[in-house]
Amino acid sequence: MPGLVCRSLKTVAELEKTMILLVEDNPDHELLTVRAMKKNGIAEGLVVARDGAEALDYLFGTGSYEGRDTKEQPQVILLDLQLPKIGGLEVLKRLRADERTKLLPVVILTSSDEESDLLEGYALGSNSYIRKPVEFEHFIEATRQLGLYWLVLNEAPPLSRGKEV
Amino acid sequence: MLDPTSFRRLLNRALFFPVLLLLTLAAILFYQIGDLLDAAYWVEHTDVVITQARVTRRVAETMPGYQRLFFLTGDPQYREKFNLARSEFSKQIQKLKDDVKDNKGQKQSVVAWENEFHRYLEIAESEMAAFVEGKDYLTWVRRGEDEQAMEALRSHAERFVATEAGYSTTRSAKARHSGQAVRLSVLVLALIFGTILGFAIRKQLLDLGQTYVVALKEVQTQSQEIEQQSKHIRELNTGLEERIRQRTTELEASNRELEAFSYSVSHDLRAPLRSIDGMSLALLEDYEAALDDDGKKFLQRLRANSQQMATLIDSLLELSRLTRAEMRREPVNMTALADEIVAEIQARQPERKVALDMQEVPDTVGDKRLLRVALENLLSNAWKYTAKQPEAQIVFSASEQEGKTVYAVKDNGAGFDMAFYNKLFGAFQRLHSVNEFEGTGIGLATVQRIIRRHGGQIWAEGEPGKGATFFFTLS
Repeated sequence: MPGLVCRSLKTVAELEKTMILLVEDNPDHELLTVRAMKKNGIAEGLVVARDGAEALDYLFGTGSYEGRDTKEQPQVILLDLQLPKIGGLEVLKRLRADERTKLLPVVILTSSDEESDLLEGYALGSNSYIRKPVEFEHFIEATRQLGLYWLVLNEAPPLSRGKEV
Repeated sequence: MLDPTSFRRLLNRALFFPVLLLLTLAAILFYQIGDLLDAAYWVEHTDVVITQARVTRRVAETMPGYQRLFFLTGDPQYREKFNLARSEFSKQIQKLKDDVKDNKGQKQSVVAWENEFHRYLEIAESEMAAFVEGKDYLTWVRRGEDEQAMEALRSHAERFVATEAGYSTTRSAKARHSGQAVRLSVLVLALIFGTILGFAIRKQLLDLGQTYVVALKEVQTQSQEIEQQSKHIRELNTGLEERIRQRTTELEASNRELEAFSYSVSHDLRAPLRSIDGMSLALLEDYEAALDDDGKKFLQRLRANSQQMATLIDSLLELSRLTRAEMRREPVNMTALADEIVAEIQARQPERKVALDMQEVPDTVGDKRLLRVALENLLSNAWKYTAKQPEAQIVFSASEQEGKTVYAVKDNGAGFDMAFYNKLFGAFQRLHSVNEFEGTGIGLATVQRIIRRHGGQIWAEGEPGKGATFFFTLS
């Protein structure tokens, strides 16, 4: 039913290219997040960085990601705040400071609901702030909506579409 | 120390003493000058007496002249002049007698003098009578008896004058002495009195000065003491400020620690819970076939517990957040706030029938957000604990006690045993099991903290099965 498809919805080809960068240090949470994504069918093209430094390496094509084509950028970054080496807020700050990544959609996904984290997250240019619910059904639902919104409904900034720019 | 009364007494003394001294001086001088004037009077008086004596003598001396002229001429005019002189003498001798009436010796002298005159007069009259009658008066004249009487009179007069002149010398000398005495007295007394006065004034001034020196020293000592005390107080203050600064720093540090702690609780305690819950669900979903009903039940209990713990953590965090949050004071309409909250609670369970008596209560000033949390807890509790009461009642009211507004939330629900009152407001303290009424046991602790942060008090009354009433004041 192509006629019914919303104009903004991406084609299947586009969807295959889409990437989610999950920055998460807790292997249990990684496991559960991946599971939730699989359940919602958005686990394709998922990249996981285990700490802030790795996330930045990936995004800027440095360190172990030396040589990665940085024109290819994830469609959304799911960023935890409590990360070893470089904290989530610091990662966000550096992302926003760099030309290549300053427009990338970032969703903070964290256990903390401290007001200060919320405020600072938004102040540094986060696009969304989601508190991980303890109840897993809620998390699966949140993941589903996240995927739908950021990967399907949302128009990413031109940069993440790579060569098309 | 010199008080005003004794100072006035001192001043009076300082005035009275010189005046007395000068009065004494004046009295002495007055007496001496009187003496001097007296002496001068007597000197003058002597002169007057001498003159009077001479005048009297001369009058007497004129009479033999007139007598002889009468004898020679027989002219009655001389007889007349003789008579005039005679009466003149009487007048003058009387005057003289008056002048010397105080001096007995001189008075006797004058009387002797007068006697001689009378003797002369008797003889002279007899002679002149003989002359007029044409008798032999010459024999009498030749006898010279009248001449002798006159001579005696003259010698009396001379003696008198000489005596009087002697008086004059004595009296002049006395007057001179008196004058010298006055001069000397003035000098000596002025010197003595001046010295006394000077010394007295000196002494008084010295005494006064001494008193002031003592007073001054006392004042200096006192001011030094005060200075020391204020220094001490300043030091104490400085110490106190230092301590306050230190405490504040410590408090801020501990507050930061607490924040870090709750942050870590928020994140780190929840993270494993999520894993437990997620994994349990994964087991339930992915290995459903391998699990029997008991296995599934255990997993479900596992999940329920982890979720319960998550709620506890959230409540705890909420409590700590409320304790830390900055107070924003503003006028709060408590009536409207309570109505709003009750409407929300009712909307969550529209099927419940509760008799609500939301009364008009006084407004207050406080942090609206915090007061909302407190009222919400109290009203929700009332709502929750009346759930098993078929005719549930909730009353929100206020009264005036000792000048303070006391708000009250009253219900007729499960109530509580006053024996456990001390556990009522403790965190995680529950007077009912979770099976009976769900909850975390943090609500009343939260309410208490909020009320205390407003400077108010909270207390409660209750009876199992009959309901509970929570009272609170706000500063």
